[in-house]
Amino acid sequence: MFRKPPSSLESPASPPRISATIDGVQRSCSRLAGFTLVEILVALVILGLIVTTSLAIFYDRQKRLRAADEMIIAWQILANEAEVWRHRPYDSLVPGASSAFLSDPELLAQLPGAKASAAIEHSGPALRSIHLTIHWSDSAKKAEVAVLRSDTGGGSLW
Amino acid sequence: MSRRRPSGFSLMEMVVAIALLGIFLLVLVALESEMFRLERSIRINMMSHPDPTAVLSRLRRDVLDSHGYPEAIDGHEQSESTLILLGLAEDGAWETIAWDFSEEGVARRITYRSGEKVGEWTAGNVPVFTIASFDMPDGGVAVRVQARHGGKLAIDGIFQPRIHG
Repeated sequence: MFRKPPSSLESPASPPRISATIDGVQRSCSRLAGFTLVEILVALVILGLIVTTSLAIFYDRQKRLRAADEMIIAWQILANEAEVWRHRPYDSLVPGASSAFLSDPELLAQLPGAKASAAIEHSGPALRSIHLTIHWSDSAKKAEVAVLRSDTGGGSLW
Repeated sequence: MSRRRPSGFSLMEMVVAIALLGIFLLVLVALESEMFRLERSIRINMMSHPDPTAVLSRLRRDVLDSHGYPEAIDGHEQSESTLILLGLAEDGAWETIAWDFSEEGVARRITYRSGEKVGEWTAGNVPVFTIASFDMPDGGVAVRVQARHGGKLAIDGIFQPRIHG
């Protein structure tokens, strides 16, 4: 498109030059009739880069949405579980023991590859801490809540 | 002829360029529509929306502060779509709070004092909440609030009234 015109057009030409000019124009027209292999390859590479980038962004966004979704579920499960463990009798909290979650497992079933556990520890005189953990087996991701219980001697405080 | 051609693109070049742009736009639109479908299908929208969050927060606070579950008030009865709580207002007066989820997409919190309606707060664009009870290990009964989205349990909250001195 921005090719330099044949030099024969720049000045009045003699018959042999006209002949050369006609030949040159014909060659020029034949070159403009289509794209070269390099042009097509460059265009395809650019298009490929754009599509690949778009796909990568799309899948990354999808992955983040799923992760956020799973974390919302996990925190709901942990909040409910903490509420239940607050109301367990203090005497039933044996240090060193671990247990499965006590609340409804329906939400937990929506977290593929996630395991939930409750571990009880002695935290001091008349104190127990309950560590509620959800961890995903396919990643290092986990959500954890700790509930501290005190022995009120059977009173109504938790 | 050779002077006119460099001034613009040929029809074929424009057609090819527009076709390539069209293909690219189609891919983008397809990806965006898929993303939109995905965002709608999961519960993050529901929980990040201010109305359901506001309803859950207020309801949780009402339950934690409540002193009992009256059977009925002003035509409202305890049911899957109605929760009635007895609580103390900030000024120390007793008030009965009725949470009404009977209308789809709407949550109503109606407050009564001495049987008289004194206030109503309404939230729209909320999922269908259901009320149930949950038995606690110490023999207490907690309120369980649930909402489903696309058949799946999306919101599940267990709230137990706090012990009041």
